[in-house]
Amino acid sequence: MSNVQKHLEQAIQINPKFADAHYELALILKKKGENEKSIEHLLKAIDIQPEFPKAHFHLASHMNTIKDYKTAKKHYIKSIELDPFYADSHFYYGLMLVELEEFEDAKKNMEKATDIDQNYSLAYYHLARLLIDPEDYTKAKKYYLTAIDIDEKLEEAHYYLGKLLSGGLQNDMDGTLVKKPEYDEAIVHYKKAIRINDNYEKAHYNLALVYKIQKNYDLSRKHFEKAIKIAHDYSKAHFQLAMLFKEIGEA
Amino acid sequence: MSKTKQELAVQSKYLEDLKFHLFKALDIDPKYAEAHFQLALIYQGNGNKRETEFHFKKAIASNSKTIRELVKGGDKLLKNFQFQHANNLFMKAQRKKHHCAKVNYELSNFYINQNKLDLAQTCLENSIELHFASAKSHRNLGILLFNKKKYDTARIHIEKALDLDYSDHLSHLNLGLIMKHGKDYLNAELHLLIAMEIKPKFSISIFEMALLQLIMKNQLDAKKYYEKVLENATDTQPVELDKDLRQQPATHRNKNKESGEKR
Repeated sequence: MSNVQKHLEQAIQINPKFADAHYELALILKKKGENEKSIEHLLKAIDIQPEFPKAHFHLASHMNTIKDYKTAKKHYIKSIELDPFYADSHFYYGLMLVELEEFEDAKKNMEKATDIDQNYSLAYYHLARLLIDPEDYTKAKKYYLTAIDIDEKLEEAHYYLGKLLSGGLQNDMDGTLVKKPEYDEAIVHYKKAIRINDNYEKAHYNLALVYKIQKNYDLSRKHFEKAIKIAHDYSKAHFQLAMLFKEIGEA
Repeated sequence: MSKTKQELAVQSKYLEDLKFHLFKALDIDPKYAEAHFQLALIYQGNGNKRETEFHFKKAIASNSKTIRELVKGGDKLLKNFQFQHANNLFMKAQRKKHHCAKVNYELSNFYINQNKLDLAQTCLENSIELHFASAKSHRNLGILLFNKKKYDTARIHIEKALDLDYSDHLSHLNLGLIMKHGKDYLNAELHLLIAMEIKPKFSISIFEMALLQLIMKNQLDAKKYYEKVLENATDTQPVELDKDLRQQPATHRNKNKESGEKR
């Protein structure tokens, strides 16, 4: 037992109505994976001090983990009501809403998180992923780039930006749906994702797809094979490698 | 130019690798529709009818299941007012439907090859249901119905095929034949002329035009077209995937030929 935990427990023994002590102890217990005890202390903290946004937030987070979404939702909302400028509440509530397939509300919460904390790279990344409408192509690209600008080691942001660029599905100035893939830029981001994590099989696979489109068969084959080497059961990579052989054979 | 032994060996290696990875993809995911489809095409090329049909059917079954799941997911999102994500799933379902329509179209060609015309008709009807804008499916269904003497429905499908793809010479040819059957000789001539303009060396269009000219009592023109057919006699190259269907209106052509000769 750490000194901090010991002292917090002593503080609670002396003053059982010490909300901050319950809250801090709950965080330590959460870190140690003692979730039930952590929940108990968070509940006590809230009982003593109902207007305790961070306690509500952490309790919501616990409930989210055990998939008690209804309770989680109640506490996330309470936390936001009490402190509308608490970026984490918006962000994690947003993530839970994605799990619940409530994408529109998730988007609003991610936007709020980025408004509050303009260096919240993960919020930018998740917000970009929620922007799937071709009309939002430019916005999504901007958010991925912002996320990468803040944290260039965000491999997933590089990967999904690569996917967005190689798909290129967007609305033209007059609102017409057009496909304008940006293959070279996509390659740059897939490569960056691979540089961060060489075992990122999906990045290898998608990079191979772009090379295949560009008829760079050797590199395409190399990356499909790399994807298969990393994940033997990658059925799509096997299929696309087969299609590559078909294309080379016919060329 | 014929391929060298080395080139053939390389090609055969690619084919082996291609099959290996398709089988691998199906080992991992036995419901991989695209992999079944590609295997079916390979078996079709090798003349293995049993495996061809098996893999085409597997591709259709897998696609249908995925389509149902995607639509169900989209409906659920729609009920929760998640319009963009619902739309995303519906678009995926649409792409799957188009793929499934393509498989049905290819399977119909496979059945036509074996003279299983009722099965072919069902596949073409399914193909159209999945992808209404499939010009080739409308055209081939029109040709099948024409052979079954269902002229009105045949005409609807071939006209639809032309709405979707006006540059398809086979649609013009067959619409010409339907019109000729309905004694609308002027429009028949117009469509045969367009067919010939699109594919000038396609002997069947020229031959049908010769027959039509005989019916229209334009013996000189008929002679001109017959001579052109003879000129192109060496042009017996099949046209794309539709070589089998081209032979389908043969019964009509024979009848026409007879009637033409009598005249």
